[in-house]
Amino acid sequence: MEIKKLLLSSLLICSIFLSKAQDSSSSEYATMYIMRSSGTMGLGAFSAFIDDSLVCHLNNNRYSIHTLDPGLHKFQARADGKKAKKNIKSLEIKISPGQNYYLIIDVIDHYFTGTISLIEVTENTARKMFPKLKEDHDCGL
Amino acid sequence: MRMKKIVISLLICFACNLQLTAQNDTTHSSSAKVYILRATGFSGSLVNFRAWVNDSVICKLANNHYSVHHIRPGTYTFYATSFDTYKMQQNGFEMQVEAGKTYYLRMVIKKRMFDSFLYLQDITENSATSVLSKCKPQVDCKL
Repeated sequence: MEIKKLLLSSLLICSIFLSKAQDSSSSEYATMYIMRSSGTMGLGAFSAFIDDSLVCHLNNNRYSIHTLDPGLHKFQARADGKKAKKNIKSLEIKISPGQNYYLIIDVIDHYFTGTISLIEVTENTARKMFPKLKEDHDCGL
Repeated sequence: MRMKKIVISLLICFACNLQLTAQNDTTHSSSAKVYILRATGFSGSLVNFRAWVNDSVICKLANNHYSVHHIRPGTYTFYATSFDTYKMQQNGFEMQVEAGKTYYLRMVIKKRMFDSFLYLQDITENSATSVLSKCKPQVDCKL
């Protein structure tokens, strides 16, 4: 009977340690939110790239969540397409573990064209935007 | 004797100047620096947009320009309006301003089906540097 109790208690302690280890491993990464609220500018889904690889086809009034390793990363947005372009200016951010980052896909109109770019905003701005946006789970990939 | 007076008066002037510059430095360190940036593209480019803090206009900004303001710590609501629009609760951006910090507020135009909506966005220093590189300082805020 005592052995059973000992075994159970050791199992409990092990499970507590394991859950703590999982918590610490999740804080080793950073969370990136990519948001889009561009109004009537651009009807299709915009493509978002992280380190030249496509991570999301983002529709208007949607946001996507991505987990990132710490370090310097390159972010880019385009109106369409599956590959990042070298002639489009990308945003470089040094990612720290356990932090949240918020990017907005921004559209600026010119005489005949429009420019799509990524702007990093503060948590204060992002918190005000989230109630109007829906999460995009599958990202259309 | 006259030389002595001149030297003493110069010394007094120098001391006063030092004290004044010191006071300026302390006032700046006890206030926050707020950049208001405007690079809104073609839409409304002929009009100066107004930047408000609570109930007063602090600057009328031309396109591709920015202005810098030193604001005392506290909670403020920042607005951006055009000449024909009024500040509304929905385009107000409430922000807690802390001493010694720098904030970057960017004017954004969101086009909707029948109208457009002008508001302010708090952006990070990383993004602000790329926007600032395209903008000129607004020398006269036209108040």
